[in-house]
Amino acid sequence: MSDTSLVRLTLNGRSTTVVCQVRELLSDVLRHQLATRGVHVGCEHGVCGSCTVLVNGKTARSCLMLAAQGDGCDVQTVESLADGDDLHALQKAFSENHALQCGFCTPGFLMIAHELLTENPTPTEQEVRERMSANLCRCTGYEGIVQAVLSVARNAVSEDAARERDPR
Amino acid sequence: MTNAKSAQQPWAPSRQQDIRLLTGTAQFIDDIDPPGTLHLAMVRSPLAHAIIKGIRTDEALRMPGVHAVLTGEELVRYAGAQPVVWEHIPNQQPVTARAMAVDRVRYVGRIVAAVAAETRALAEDAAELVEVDYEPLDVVSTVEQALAPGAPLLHPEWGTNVFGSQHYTTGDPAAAWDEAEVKVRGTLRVGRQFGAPLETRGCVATWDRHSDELELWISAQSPNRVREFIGQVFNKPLHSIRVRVPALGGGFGTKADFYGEEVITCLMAWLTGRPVKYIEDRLESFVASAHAREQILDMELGADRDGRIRCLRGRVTAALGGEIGSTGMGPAWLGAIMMPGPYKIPNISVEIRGVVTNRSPYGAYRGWGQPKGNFAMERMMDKLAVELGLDPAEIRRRNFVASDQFPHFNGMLPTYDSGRYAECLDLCLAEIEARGWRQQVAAARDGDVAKGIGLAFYVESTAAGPSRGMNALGLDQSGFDEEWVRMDSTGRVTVYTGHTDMGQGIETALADVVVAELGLRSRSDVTVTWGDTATCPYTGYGTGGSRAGALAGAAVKQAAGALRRKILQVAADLLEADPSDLVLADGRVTVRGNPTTGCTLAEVGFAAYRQVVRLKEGTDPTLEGRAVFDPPAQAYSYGCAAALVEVDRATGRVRVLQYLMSHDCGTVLNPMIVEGQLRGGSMQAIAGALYERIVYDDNGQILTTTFMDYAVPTALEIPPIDLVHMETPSPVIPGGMKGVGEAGVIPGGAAIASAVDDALGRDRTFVTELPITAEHVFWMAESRH
Amino acid sequence: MKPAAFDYRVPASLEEALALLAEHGDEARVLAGGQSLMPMLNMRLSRPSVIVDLNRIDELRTTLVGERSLTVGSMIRQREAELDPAFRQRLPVLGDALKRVGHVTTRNRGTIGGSICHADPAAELPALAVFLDATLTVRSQRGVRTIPAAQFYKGVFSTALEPDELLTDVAFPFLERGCGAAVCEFTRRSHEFAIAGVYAALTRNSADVVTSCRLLAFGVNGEISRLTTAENTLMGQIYRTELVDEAAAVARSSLSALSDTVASSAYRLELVRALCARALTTAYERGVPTDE
Repeated sequence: MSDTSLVRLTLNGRSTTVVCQVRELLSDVLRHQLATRGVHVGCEHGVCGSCTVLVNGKTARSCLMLAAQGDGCDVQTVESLADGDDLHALQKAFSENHALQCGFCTPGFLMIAHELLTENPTPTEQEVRERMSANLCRCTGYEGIVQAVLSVARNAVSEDAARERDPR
Repeated sequence: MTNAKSAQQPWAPSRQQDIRLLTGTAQFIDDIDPPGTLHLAMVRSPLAHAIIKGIRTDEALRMPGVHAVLTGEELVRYAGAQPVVWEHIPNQQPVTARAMAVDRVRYVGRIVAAVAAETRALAEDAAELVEVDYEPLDVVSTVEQALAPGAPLLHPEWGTNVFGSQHYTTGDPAAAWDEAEVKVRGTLRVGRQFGAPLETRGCVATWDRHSDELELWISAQSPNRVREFIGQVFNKPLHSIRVRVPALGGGFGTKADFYGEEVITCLMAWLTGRPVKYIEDRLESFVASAHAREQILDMELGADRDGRIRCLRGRVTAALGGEIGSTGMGPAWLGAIMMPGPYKIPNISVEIRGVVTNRSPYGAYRGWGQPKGNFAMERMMDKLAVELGLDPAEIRRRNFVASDQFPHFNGMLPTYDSGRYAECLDLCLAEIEARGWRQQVAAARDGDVAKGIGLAFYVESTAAGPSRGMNALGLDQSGFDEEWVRMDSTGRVTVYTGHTDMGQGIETALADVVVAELGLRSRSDVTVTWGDTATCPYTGYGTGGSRAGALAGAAVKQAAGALRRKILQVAADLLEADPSDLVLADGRVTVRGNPTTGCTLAEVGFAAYRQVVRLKEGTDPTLEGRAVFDPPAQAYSYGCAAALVEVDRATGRVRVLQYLMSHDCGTVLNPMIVEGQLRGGSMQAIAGALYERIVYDDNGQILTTTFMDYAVPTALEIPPIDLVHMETPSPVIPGGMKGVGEAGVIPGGAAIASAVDDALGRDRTFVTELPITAEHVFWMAESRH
Repeated sequence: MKPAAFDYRVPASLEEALALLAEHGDEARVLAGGQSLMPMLNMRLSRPSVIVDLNRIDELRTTLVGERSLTVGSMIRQREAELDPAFRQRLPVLGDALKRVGHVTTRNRGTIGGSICHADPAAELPALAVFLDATLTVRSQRGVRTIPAAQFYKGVFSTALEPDELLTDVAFPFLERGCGAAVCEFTRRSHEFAIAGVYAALTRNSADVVTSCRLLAFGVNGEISRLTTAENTLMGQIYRTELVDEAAAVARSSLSALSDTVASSAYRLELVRALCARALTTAYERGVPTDE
C-alpha cells in the first residue's frame, strides 16, 4: 500500500509523468507540479468551475479528481488553446467583449465555451447562457462572456460560408 | 475550432492585462512559490463564544512535516494590536484587536492556533491534532439578542454590546416631524453578505532573521497600507518591509481590510526561518473574510402634501461581528451619511450604532455601506409615493437637489460637487418607455406571472478623499495619490502607481491617460507597473472608495503633463526649436506646421539618457514626471437603476427580466471599463437583492459555509445590464473624473424591491428586507388573494 | 481543503472491486464520478481509510435496451445516458431528469450509479428510480440480489446497500404506451438541488379518461414519496384542470415537509402543490390518447 502514485498522462499534447500523493487533487498537481498555473482553484468543492480542464476531450472539474485518476488520460488546460503567439478565437473574443475583468474565472469559462462550440458550433443565445451557467464569475455579470461565445460562433459560420463561396 | 490567423494588423487586446489572464500566465498569490515554502492551516473556533481554558499543541508538533504551531499567547509576545483604521465614531469603544484569539473566542471561525507544515494537507492533518479546551459562554447571535437587557457582553469591560454610536442632526427634526402633513415609517433590513471574490485571500511571507528583511506577497488591494500596518504591528521599520501584490482574482473590498492572517503568516516566517504561505480556502472564506451589509434601519419621513420632504429621522443599527476589524463600523457610518441621497432634506436626525454579535467580523464590501442606506431611503420614497398617490419617479423629482444648487451639503456630512439628477432620471424613464416595459407589465397584470417595474436613484461617494478631511475625522490615513510617469532610453513610457488592479482595469485606464497626454500611438506603448512598495509610489487609502480612476487619473495626467514638458525640452534641444513650437502626436515630436521635421520619442529617450551631449546646458538628463494629487473634495457620481421583474405567484420566484442604469460618473476614461464596473456592480446588487445571504442560527453557528449554501448567481440569473451615460465633468477633480467602481451595486436592491411591489400591487405589498426570498414573495402574493 | 489520508485502490475488474469491499467494508468508499464524494473528501466530511476507484471497470458500463426496460450500468456517465438516442426515444423522462442534474461538466464524470447510491433526497435520479419502479442489481462476494427502488432508500444519504455490496446496474422500466411524463422542480438558482421536486406521469384514453397516473415528490422531507392518494383523485376520471388542482391540493395535504435555511415546511408544501399541478399538466400534454 503506497501513499504515492505514478501518473502518466498527456498534458497539452506532451507525454508527462509525475509522482504525487494519492490524496492530491488533479487541480493541485497540475498547478504545482506540472506548471499549468492557468488552472485556478476557487472553491475546491466543484461549484465555481474555475478549475475546469478537458479530460479525454470532455470538461471536468479538476478539484473533483484525484491526480492519480489522470493516469492514462489526455488532459488539456487553458494553456493548450493558443497556437504559439496566436490566441484562440475564443480568447480574442473574450478580450474584445470585456468578458473578463480579474481573469480568475476565465480559464474555466474558456474550457466550457470551447467544449460547447465543439459540440454545437451554432448555439442559440439561450443555449450559450445555459452552458455558461455552469461556472461562477464575480466580476463581469456574464453578458460579455455570452456575447464572446456567440461572436465566435457567428464568425465561424461566416468563415465557413466564405470558404464555401471561395474555396481557394 | 480553428485559430484565425492574423490578417492585416496584429490583434490588440482590449486591456493591458488580458493576454496574460486569457493564457493563464498571470501570477496570482498561490502561484508564488519560493523554494522551501511552508504552508499554514488554521485551527478555528467551532464555538461562537467561549473562554479558552487551554491549548495543547504537542501532538501536532510531533507530526512529521510540521515545523511550528502558534497560539495567541505566543503571538502577543511579538505582535502588537491589529490596527483599527476607522476610529472616527467619537464614542467608539477603545479596542485592542489581535491577529488571533488569546483568551477567548467571539465568533465561529476565530483563529485559535496556526500550524506550519510542509504541505497544506499535512498542516490540516496537524491542525486536527491541536486540542483546545473551551468553556462555552452564552451566545448573542442577533442584534436583538445583543441589545436585550441583561444580554451577555462580548467585551465585559465595555459594559455594553454597543461598539459606538453617533448622531447627526440638521435643522429642527422634532418640530418638522410634528408639523409634517404626511408621515411614513418603516423598518428595513438587509441580510449579511460578503464580497466573495472568486480568488480567496492569501499571502506569502519571507522574513530573513539575519537581515530582518521582510517580503510579503499578499492578495490585497492596498500594499502601502499593509506595509504601514505590518510595520506598526511588529514595531518594525518600514524600509525593511516590502509588500508586493500579484494579480488579484477580485477584491470587492474584501481584500481591502487588514486581517490577522497576514500577521500570523509573517510571524511564522520569522519563527520557522522559511517562506510561509497561507491560502484561505473557500470554507474558511465564509468565516474569515469580512462580512458586510447586515443592518436594521428604522426610518421616518415627514413631508408636505405636495410630496416635499420636510424631515428624515432614522436609526441605523449595524450588526458587527464578535471582533472589530480594521474597518471598524465605517460602512455603517458611510451608508448613513449618504442616506439623504439626491434629495433636499432640511431637517435630519439620524443615529448610527454598531452592535457587536457573535458573528464573523464586519468589514468592507463594494459600496461600503451605501447599498443599505440607499435601500432604506429609496424604499421610504416609494412608501411616501404610495401614501400621496404619486408616481415613484415624480416623488423623487420633487425632492431632487437642482443642478444649479451645487456644491450641496447633504445635511449630514458630505458636500456633493455636482449633479444633474432630474436629467438623469429622465434618461432612465425614457429608456423604460423605449423598451415598452409598461406595456409588458399591463399585459401581465392579472396573470399567474405578474411583472413589475421599479427604480431607485443613487448618489455615490467617490474619490476618497481629501487627506485633511480624513485626519479631521480622526483617521491617521491619507487620501492623496502619488504617481510617477517615466520615459526610458527607448522612448517607452512606464507609469508607476500605488494602486492595484483587481480586475477593474486601472492598469489600462491609466495607460489611456498617458496615451492621450503624450500623443502616443497606442496603449501598447505604455506599461503600468503596480503592486510593489519598493518600486511604486504611495497612495493614501489604497484601491477602494472608487478613487483610483479619479485620483490616479488626475495624478497621472498631471505627472504625464510634467513629463511632456521635459520631452518637449529635450526635443527642442535636438531639433533646435522652441518647445512651444513643438507638437507631440503619433509617437513623434514634430515642428508645428512642418510635420516632416521632427524626431521620434525613441530618439528623445536615447538622448536624454545616453547622449547628454546633445542637450543644452540647463536641460537635465532623464525623463520623469511626478505628481501628487490630494483631492480638495470628494466627487459624487449618481444615477438611476431600473428593473423589470417577473413574479411567479404560484412559487414566489422573482426573475429579473431586464435591468438598466442611467448614470453620470463625470469624465469617462475608458467606456468599456466603466461599463464593466457598472455591470459587475449591478450583478452584485441583483445577487444581494435576491440570492445571497449568510445565515447564522441562534447559537451563532454559521449555516452557509459553501457555494452550495451561499447562492452566487449564474448567467441564468443575471440579465444583460443596459446602460445610458451622461458625462458631466466633476468640478473638483482635474480631468473631471468621478469614481464609478461601486455605483452599480448601490441602487439595485431598492430597484428590485420596488419592482416586486409593483408586480404585486404597491398599495398592497411593501418589501422591507433583502434578500427578497421566493418564500417571502409567495406569502405576500398569497395574502392578497 | 485537502482530503485526509487514505489508501487508494484501482481494481481492474468487478471481482477485484468486490474483494476489496469484502475486505474493508465500512472503512472503504467507492469512487465513481467523484462529483459527490470528492467535495466531501475535500471538506473532510468523509474520511474513509480506503478509496476504491471504479473508473477502470468495464463490466460496470454495459447497457441494454430491452422490450420493457432499459438497463444502465452503474458506471455509465450521466452525460452519456443523457445523449443516448435510444434512451431518449424509449424513456424521455430520463433525459429530462438528467438535464437537471448538475451541469454538463459534472455529468461528464458523474455516473448513474453514483447518484443513485449517494441517495441525496433532493436529487433527481434516486427519485426517478422510485418513480419508475426501477430495479437495482447489487453484487457482493456473497452473491447477487435485486432490490426494488422503493425499498432501496432508507433515509437521507442512506440506502439498503451493505458495506460489501456494489450497485452494478439499474433497470428502468418503460412507461405505458401513450404515457406522458414530466419532472418539475423549484430551485433558488438554476441547476441546484431541488427545494421541492415532483415527477408526474399520466396516460389517458380517447375519451380523456385517465387510465394511469403516477405522482411522486422529492426534496421535501428527506424521503421520496409516492403520492397515491393524489393519484387516485385522477384515476378513472375525465381529465380536467379542476381535477389537477384538486390532486395537487391532496398531494400537499398528504405530505409533511422539512424546514431549513432555504424554505419553511409550509412553503415547501405550497411548492409541492404548484409543482404537482404543473407536472400533471405537462404530463397530460405530452401524452398521446390510447385506445383503452
